[in-house]
Order: sequence, then C-alpha cells, then structure tokens
Amino acid sequence: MQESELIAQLKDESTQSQAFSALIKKYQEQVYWLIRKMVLSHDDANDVLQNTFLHAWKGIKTFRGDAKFSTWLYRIAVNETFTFLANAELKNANNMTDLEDIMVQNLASDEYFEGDELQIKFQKAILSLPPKQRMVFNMKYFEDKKYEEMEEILGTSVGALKASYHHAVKKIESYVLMED
Amino acid sequence: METKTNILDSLKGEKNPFKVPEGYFESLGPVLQEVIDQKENVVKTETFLSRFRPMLYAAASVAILVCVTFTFLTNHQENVDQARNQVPEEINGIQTKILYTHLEEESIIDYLLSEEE
Repeated sequence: MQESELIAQLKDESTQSQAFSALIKKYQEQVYWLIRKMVLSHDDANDVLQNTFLHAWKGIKTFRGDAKFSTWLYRIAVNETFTFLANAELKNANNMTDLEDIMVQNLASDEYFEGDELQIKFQKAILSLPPKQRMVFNMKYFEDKKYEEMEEILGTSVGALKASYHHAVKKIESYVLMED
Repeated sequence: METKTNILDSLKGEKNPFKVPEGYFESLGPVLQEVIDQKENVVKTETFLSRFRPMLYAAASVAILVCVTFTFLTNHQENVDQARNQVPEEINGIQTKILYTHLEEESIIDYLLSEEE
C-alpha cells in the first residue's frame, strides 16, 4: 500500500490503528538504528523506540500531513533520544566517570556489539561530540540523509548542518588517528 | 589528509558492528502494538477514574461525616442517660446534708426521744 493511502487512513478513526501498524512496520528498523547509534545499548534503544512510537500514536491527531510521515516520526525519535540522554546525564551527575566513558565501557562488554578495537575507538570518537552534533554526524554518515530533510527534522539550517558535519568529521578523524 | 579520509571511508565500508537479538525486528511490530494498547488502556482507566474522582471524594466525605455524626450522637445520648441516673442521688445526699445542718441539736434529741416513747 502506498504511503499516501496509509496517511489518508490515519485520519479516519476506523482505519487509523491498522494504518499506524503498517507505518510502524515500515519505519521501525530505520528509527531503531537512528536511536541505537546514539544510545549504543540495545536495551536502551528498545526503550526509546517504544516511547517514540507511543508518542507518535498519542500525537497522531497532530500530524497534518504537511511534512512526510518519516520526517515527523524522526523528529519524535530525535526528541525522545535527546530526552533519554539528558536524563542519563542527570542520573550520572554525581558519578566521577563521564556518561560517555560508561557508554563505551558498556559497549565493549555488550553481547550485541561485535566491533573490534578500531570500531570501539570510532564510537568513542563519535561520543566525544555533543549530542546534537553526534546526531548530525550519524544521520549524514550512516544514513546519508539529505541536509534538507535533516533541516526539517532537527530545525537547524542547511548551512549550519553542513558546518556541523564538517567539524564533526574533522574531530572524529583526529580522534581516531591520535587517540591510543 | 588522504589517510584521514580513508579511515572514515574504510570504517563506512565495514559491516555494522551493532547486532540485535534474533528475530527482534520480526517481533517488533506486534510488541510495539501491544505496548501502545496497554498504555491506551491505562490512560482510558485513568480518564474514567479522573472523571468520577470528584464524585468519589464527595461520596466518601459524606459517608465519613454520617459515621462521625452517628457515633457522636449515640455517645452523647448514652452520656445524657447516665447523667440523669446519677444526678438525683447526689442531689438527695446534698439536700439531706443541708437539712441536717439547719436543725438544732436539741430538736433532734427531742425528736428521737419522742419516737422512743
């Protein structure tokens, strides 16, 4: 079924639930990977993903169809991810170890991560970026998203996004090459 | 610079090091639907309760007030009855004492002697 048809069904209460299920199926994987690359742990990604779809369902009436459904859903996922990271940062406020260091340590022992030393160093380099810049980097580098779509999702101008990505690449390259 | 670019390019070419539990994406749709349905039911129950919450509070307040009033009135009635039974004896004792204090000692002796006769 075409996405436009599903969107039309979303507006009708009798077909809403069915259309939403179809859209979940269509986007669950993409949204999962966006979240996972930010929070790293599978369990955390699963929680954030559930919250994302729950909020999407609750706010389905506010979806007017001006933007693409995927853009709207990504926006919710991004907000949920930032909220999760901010809460994790707050919980870790009294800890001597930085949250990013804890995330890398957990990654190394994660049964759902099969990366080598270089991959861990790469993730460490990405984690050295502030969350929003990390999101910009992940969207462009891993998903090859268009800047125009990223602008709609993140609410940042294309120019600022390009600059942010450029700086992120430089920082990560230096980190991967220099860090031991 | 070329080496730096190559590093990111070569990492991009590598396979995704992140894994998911087996069958995760296959079961994700129904799981998400279940989570949504569960939360929906909780919200509906909460909405139902919150709609009738003021009435429940009012009914509970009235019930408590009725109980307190009933208990108070019952105890009060018992106290009144008890007081009624006790008061005359005390008053009688006092009256007798007052009477005796007003009589002359001689009058009492005369009275007792006349009774013996």
